[in-house]
Amino acid sequence: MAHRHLILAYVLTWVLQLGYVGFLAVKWRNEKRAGRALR
Amino acid sequence: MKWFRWIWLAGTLALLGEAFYQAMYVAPTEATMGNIQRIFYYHFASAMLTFLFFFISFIASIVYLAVRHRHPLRALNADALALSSAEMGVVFCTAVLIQGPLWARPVWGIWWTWDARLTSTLVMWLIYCSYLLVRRFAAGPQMQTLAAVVAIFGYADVPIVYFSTRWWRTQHPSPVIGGGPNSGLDPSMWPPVWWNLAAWLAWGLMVMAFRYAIERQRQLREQDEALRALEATLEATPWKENE
Repeated sequence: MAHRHLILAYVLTWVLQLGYVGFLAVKWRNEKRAGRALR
Repeated sequence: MKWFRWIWLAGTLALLGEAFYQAMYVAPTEATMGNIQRIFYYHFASAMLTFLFFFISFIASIVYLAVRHRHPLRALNADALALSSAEMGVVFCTAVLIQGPLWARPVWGIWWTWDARLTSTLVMWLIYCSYLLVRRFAAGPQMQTLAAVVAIFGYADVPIVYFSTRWWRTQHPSPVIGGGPNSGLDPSMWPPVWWNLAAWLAWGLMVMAFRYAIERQRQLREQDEALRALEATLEATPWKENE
C-alpha cells in the first residue's frame, strides 16, 4: 500500500500542477481572442 | 525577453528532474516509515511555497489598498499580483492536502484527523478559495477592494498553521526547522529538501508570472473596452454649442 500511495502522491501533484497550467493556457488563448476581436 | 522565458523553463524542468531524482534515489530510506516518507520532499516544498505565495498575495493586497486612489494604474499591477499569487498558493495548498492524507493512511492508519495543523490548513485553503470566489462572482468596482480585504484578513490563518505544531500537541509530526530536541531531519535528508524547494519555487514563480500576464492583459482589455464605450457615448450625444 505504501508504494502505491507514494506513486499516487507524486502523480496527483503533477496532475494538479499541469492541470492548472492547462487551465491557464485556455484562459490565455481566450484572452488573446477577446483582445483580437476588440481590434 | 522571450529567450529568458525559455531559459527559465529549461532550468525549472532540469531542477524538477534533479529534485525528483534526489527524493527518490539519493535520499536515504527512513528507518521506521520506509519509502512512504519520500512524500515528505514534495509535501514540505508545497507547504513552504503555499506560505510564500499567500505572503506575496498579502503584501500585494496591502499595496493595492494603499495606492488605489493615488496611483490607480500601479494599484492594478498590485491587484494582478495578489490574484496570481493567491491562485498559485491555492494550487500548492491543494497539493499539500492531497499528499498529507496519502502519507497518513499507511503511517497513521487513518486518512485524516481533526488536529490543529490539519484543521488550520484546511481552513486556510477554504479562506483562499473564498477569496477566489469573491474575485469571480462579486460584481462592481468594489470587488478588488473587497478581495484585498479578504486576502489581508485571511492571511491571519497562515501563522496559525505554521505555529500550530508548536502551540498545540498535534498528531502531525513536529516541525522540521527549529522544532527543538527529538525533531528535525537527518543531515543526509537536507539536500533533497533544498533541491525540491528550489525546483518548486522556480516552477511556482514561472506559473505565477504566466497568470500575472493573463490578468494584466484582461485588465488592459477591460480598460480598452471602457474607453471605446465612452467614446461611442460621446459620439452619440448631440452637443449644442451655446447651451
